[in-house]
Amino acid sequence: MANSFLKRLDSFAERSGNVLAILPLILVLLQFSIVLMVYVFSTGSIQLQESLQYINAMMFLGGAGYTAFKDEHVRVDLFYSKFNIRQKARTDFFGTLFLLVPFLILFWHASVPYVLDSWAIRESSVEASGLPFVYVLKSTLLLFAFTLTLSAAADLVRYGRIFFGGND
Amino acid sequence: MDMSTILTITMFLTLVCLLMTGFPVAFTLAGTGLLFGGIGIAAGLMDLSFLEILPNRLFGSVIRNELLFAVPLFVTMGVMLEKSNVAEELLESMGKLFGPLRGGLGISVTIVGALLAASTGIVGATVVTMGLLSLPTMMRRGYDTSLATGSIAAAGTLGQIIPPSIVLILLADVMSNAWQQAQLNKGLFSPVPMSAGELFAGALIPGLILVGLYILYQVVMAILKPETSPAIERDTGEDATGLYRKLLLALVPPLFLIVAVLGSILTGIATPTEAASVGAIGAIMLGASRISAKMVRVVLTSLLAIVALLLISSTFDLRMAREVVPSSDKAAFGAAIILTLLFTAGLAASLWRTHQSGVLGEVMRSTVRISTMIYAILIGASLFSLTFRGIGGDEIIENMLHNLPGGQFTAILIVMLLMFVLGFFLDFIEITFVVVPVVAPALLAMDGTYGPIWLGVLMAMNLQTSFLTPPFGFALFYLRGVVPESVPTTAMYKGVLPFVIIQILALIMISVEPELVTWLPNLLFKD
Repeated sequence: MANSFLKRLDSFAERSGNVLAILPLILVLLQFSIVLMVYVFSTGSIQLQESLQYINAMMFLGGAGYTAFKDEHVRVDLFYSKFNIRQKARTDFFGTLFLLVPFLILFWHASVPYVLDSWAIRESSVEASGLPFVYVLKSTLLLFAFTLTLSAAADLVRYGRIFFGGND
Repeated sequence: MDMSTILTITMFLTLVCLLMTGFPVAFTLAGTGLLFGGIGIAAGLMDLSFLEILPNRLFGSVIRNELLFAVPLFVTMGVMLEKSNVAEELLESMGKLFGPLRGGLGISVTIVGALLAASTGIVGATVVTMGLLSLPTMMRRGYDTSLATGSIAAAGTLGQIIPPSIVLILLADVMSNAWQQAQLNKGLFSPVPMSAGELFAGALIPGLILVGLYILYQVVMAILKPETSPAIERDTGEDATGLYRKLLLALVPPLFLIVAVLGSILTGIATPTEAASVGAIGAIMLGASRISAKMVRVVLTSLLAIVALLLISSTFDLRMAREVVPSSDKAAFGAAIILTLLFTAGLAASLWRTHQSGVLGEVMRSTVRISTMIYAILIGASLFSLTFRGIGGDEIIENMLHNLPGGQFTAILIVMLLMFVLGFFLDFIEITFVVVPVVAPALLAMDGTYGPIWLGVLMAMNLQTSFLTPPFGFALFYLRGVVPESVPTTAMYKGVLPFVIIQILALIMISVEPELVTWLPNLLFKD
């Protein structure tokens, strides 16, 4: 049971990475188009400019779980790199349990009302001609909480089994 | 000692200890912040609402922060240049050109390191790439192992101080906030901002001084101790003209790209974010032309189209939304549209080519991970600093720095030493997000400082020195991983020491002569 749970979470993380990879490309192309518009055709669009925020936010908030799955959240590896598998599992299990999970609880607790408030008033951009979807932009915060929660769940199972699993 | 002071000190010590376990920095920062937030609430120093404003804080200063868009864009550019073997070709052809000179290989390594400044700005990546590329050649040709490893480690860290580098963008963001806060604290209610462009301009001359001193050291070694840096026989069958051609082909495109990006920022034409997108597009096209020779013509045509576009837009008024549009402008507009389409076709072909070879996907996935990693630290650090402020840590640090005997000089010296030591454990990004916001407002508020640009460059160079210093320096740590076992670690330490001395010399130079930093930004950005 635990195995298929872990596999499903891992394959979700992997696939989310493939989907998210389109975002930096869009970001590059969009920002470059804006540069062409501004510097060559002397026009600009606040909506286009603001859409960059949405794409960027989706990328780095949605990418949190994927990056964790690929183990690319930077570590101080002075000692960690010399640890054996079990010692590494110990760090990751207890770190996730006592540092990451409490943080995620705070994050959910603080950001859900924050996002709901924004949805309730269908919050719009402060710029008069900006995008009227600020509630969507704020909702991207939940992507961070969501993907990291999945990753933390997977890690607790993964490293817990190694650490408590004995000698196999 | 009162409660706040004890908590502040314990908070920092706990953070350092927890980081040592190797758990990811971003989450350790967040978890420690929350833990001490809880203690602060229990002790009655702050209440929960202080932590609950986190989403609002993240929305305002992270999600909506336009300067930080430059991060994924510059990462795309750096990773693309890295994955399309631009560095390899550069090092190879430079080595062949300068190799026949004594000390030539070492000089090539320094120059390539400086040029790769546009790369991802993470010390590890550059040092590892350079180590893998150049060390085997240097050792095979009889270079002194100390000199070779020292040169590579030092060159690998140049990328941080020479603009456009990602860590300077992050530092600019933090430093600019600190500067505004310092001015507000002094009662100036319309604070003067500091831009990333200004920090770039400030870092340029000190960075070039370092490059110059590194090269000078290589030359001196080649003259005084010729046996350490032998010349390399030119391979028979390769004539000099062919080499020059190859070098030009390897050197000019990336150099042109970097100069265009940096130039447009320094001259104030474009914001770092805008320039970074141009850099990323340029890197994609460069990558395409490296993957297939057929693409070279397509890329050159697109480049011509862009140049023509810029010429047209500087001669004619292309705004079509005016009341009366002269027919010459209409014709120019039509031409501009055609040129844009031509360029778009070239770009589409480049994207397709890089996509087919698998490089594009790899670059973009890597960009997601690196950018997310940086942003995650920023998120963790936000919670950490919320708590830190909540328990009154910032006032404690400020009072401490203000009450030091010797005033501003001692304060800066102590902060620099502290950052130097922290540089043994933490990377540039973490120190920027955690330490700089705490100390910079206090330092900037003191009388007689030379302003945020100078302080930023001093901090950047200080950290860069720390990464080089044995036995803990990051650069050495990464280099050890790619250097063969037969090279003793002590040889690496010995080799890097002269470079550490050069760094300290340069640090003293910019401390004694702040004009070296402030002259260029003043020239470029102040009317």
